[in-house]
Amino acid sequence: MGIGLTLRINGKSYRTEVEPLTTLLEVLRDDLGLTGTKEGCGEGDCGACTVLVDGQAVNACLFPALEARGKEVVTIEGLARDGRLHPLQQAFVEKGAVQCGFCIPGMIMSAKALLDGNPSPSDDEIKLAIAGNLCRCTGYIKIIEAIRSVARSAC
Amino acid sequence: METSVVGTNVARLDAPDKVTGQASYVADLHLPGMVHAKLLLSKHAHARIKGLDITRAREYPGVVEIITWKDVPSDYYGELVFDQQLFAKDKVRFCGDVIALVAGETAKAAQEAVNLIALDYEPLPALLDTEDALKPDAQQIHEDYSSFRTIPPLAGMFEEVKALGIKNLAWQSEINKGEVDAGFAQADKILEERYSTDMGQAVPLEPRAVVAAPNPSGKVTIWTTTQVPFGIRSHTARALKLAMTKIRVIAPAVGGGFGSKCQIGFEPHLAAMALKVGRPVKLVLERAEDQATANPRHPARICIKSGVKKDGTLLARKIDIVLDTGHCSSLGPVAAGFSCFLSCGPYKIANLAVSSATVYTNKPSCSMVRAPTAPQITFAVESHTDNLARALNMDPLAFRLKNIVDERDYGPTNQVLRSVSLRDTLTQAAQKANWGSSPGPKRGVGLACGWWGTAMGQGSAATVVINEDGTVRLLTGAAEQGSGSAYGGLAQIVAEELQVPLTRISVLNADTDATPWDFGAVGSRTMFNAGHAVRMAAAEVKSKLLNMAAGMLEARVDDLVLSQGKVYVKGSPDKAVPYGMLCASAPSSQYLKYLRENWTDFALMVVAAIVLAGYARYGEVLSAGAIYVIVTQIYILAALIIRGVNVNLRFADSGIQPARLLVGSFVFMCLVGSGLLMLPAAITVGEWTRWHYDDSLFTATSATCVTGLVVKPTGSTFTPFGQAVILGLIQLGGLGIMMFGTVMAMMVGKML
Repeated sequence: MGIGLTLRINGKSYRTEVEPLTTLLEVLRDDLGLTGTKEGCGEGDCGACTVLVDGQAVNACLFPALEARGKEVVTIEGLARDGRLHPLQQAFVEKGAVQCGFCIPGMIMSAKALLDGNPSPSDDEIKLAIAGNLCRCTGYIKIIEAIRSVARSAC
Repeated sequence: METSVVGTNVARLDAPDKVTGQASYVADLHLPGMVHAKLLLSKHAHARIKGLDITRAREYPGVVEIITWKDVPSDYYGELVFDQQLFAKDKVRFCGDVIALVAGETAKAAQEAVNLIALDYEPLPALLDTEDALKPDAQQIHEDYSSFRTIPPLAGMFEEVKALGIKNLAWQSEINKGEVDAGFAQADKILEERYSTDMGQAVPLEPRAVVAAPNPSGKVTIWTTTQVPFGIRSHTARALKLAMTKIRVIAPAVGGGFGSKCQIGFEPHLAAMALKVGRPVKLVLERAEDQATANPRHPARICIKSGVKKDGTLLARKIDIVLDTGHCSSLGPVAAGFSCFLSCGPYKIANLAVSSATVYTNKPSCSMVRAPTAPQITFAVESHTDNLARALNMDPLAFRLKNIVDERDYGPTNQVLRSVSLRDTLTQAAQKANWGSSPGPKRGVGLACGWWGTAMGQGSAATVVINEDGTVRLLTGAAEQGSGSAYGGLAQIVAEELQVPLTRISVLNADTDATPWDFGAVGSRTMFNAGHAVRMAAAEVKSKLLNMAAGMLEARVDDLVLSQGKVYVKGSPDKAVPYGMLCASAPSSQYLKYLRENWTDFALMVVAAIVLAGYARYGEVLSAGAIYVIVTQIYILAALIIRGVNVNLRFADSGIQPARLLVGSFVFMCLVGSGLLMLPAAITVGEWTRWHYDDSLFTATSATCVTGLVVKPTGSTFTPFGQAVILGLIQLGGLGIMMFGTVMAMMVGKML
């Protein structure tokens, strides 16, 4: 028997049923069809599933869905507003930071968590913020450039 | 070449979808009625299967279907050598061999059922190293090896490999050049070394996934994480004994490949399941499953021996490479060939004896990982090169500069090398690294060079379409694994060639039913091969646009300029015509062109109509039948004359020597004439029995040559038809067929 759960995701409420160990990633992808959040490893190594829970970047593949009860969840789908890309998304497009794109939703969410708390981070702070996000296409330099460009414009 | 789009920094077309999470990867697909699949993989590297019982698993709630070797064709399939079967039957050959596929209403139910499948293994000694596998007393990994077949072009070579009779040898390639022993005999110094490298995974961030959906006609659509959709179609067709028309393969956004997605995987398994259960099926590999069953880089053992002169000249090299191909050959023959040429290095070596073997072991199928075999071989060759320089007390840079290939040198297979910039590259790299000066404490500086073949494989094709509104559609078979080839570079080429903004171009790629054929996104070939195909297609479209615009703007093609999706005459950009308008007006100009080319037919039709109208008014003069026959005859005769003149013109253009044409046409006339004169209609009734072919041939020849000689009186022997034939022959012969043809062509032809 599932446990009833109401989640607040990208400003909307969703009602679903979960098992005690159902992860937030399973709820997002399988139950709610929010497939922008990716699963790369399922064990918290790659960061492709990064989402924000109350502003904190977490690996949704390790985060129990029940823990998100009463909290504000933001996924990659929640960034663009009225068809306009979020400045981070726009920067990733313009700086050529996107290759295969599989790590990008997680990468952008980690960057958002950073910039929301620290609008003008140093390069080292940027690197630390995305340390948990792997990009196999080895596009880190452009990813860092993209984040830096938004950070500066935010100053 | 001056370019306005190619070579500039542009945002790739798929980037907005990827940064918003809207790009659809295979694992993101959800279809109505979809079931979820899980694999039962072998836990032994080498074992006999003594029992397989799926009854308990089948009873598990939520299980839809379980398939094993019993449910699919048992034929061997594979990339090049057919040595793979869909499911293990008697034996598992590596830790990850597929034993069963379970479909359930949920992935959890399918996994529970997998755990309930009862298996009885009898473990066999596992061969985990090529040296062990090659021992004469080693166990044969593939009992059916002697009956294995290959794709047709490799059949002969494979028989040679089999004939070597070496236990567990999968493939062998060689390059031999010059006299290697003589080379070593002249050498001042010989260095022999042994290198070995280990397995490595490509690990794209996206684990492999497949969705297969059946449709009622027995066709199956497969969405898969692949670099080679057309290859997947072909291998799936072979494995399942299906026609390619029954399989559609689509590679949507692919989350990185790096070679690990250019081999056949679980597509046939999923297609078989989808066709069996009649519902879409989805398999997403867990990272651990993906690692176990992916195609890692070949572990290699490399023996390398080089002979050099005191001055540093490389004289001879002998290399023996053994690659661990794992449980199946996969693309091993390609790896063997690559490693052979790579091991010669970008060096001029006159005497070579290179061999590379791939050997079966009880390991995952080793295959293509980013520049297959290049890291292994280059590591060995360049370490060896440094050691050679050291042995000669030479600077490693100077030693390389002495031996590297230059423009128009011969490669190891005597291919003439073009666009070689290695000398410049090495020199500049050394300069930038301050070669020769100490890099400081805890730092080192090394130097290595290498080469790689590109533009490999078979072709690429492309379709470029201008939509009615002037936007452009590019259809390419090339998969997009992230490099940006399809959604960046290829689109840029279209934008450049047709001078349309990139934002007005859409790309559809990697769909075997919708896009033209492509060999695959492998070996850094997409921009080169697919790029050329796209450029050629766009150039063809451009030429059509220009021709249409030339008609519309009443200007010469050379005076037209393409810019921003419009065409205008040089100097008057204000009167530009958008592509959309050109395309919209295309059909009517085609009608006009058709009318211009075929006006005579229409004129005849008009005449026929007038005659028929006349009949309607004065019908009592001639019978309907007669009118009909007359009109038809006039029409056919006129049409024939026009066609005849056209043929005549074509003869004139055909390039046949005039003298031969003249003589040939006379002989032709005589033969045709003699035939006509043999017709009963040509001879009066009384003469029939006395008229023979020699008479006919004589008369016809005589008439054609206008000699006037006869064997029978013309007046009494021939009917009016016969006389007309003779008259025609005299006319045609007398006037001279060339003259006749030319004059007619001048008179009638120019008007056509």
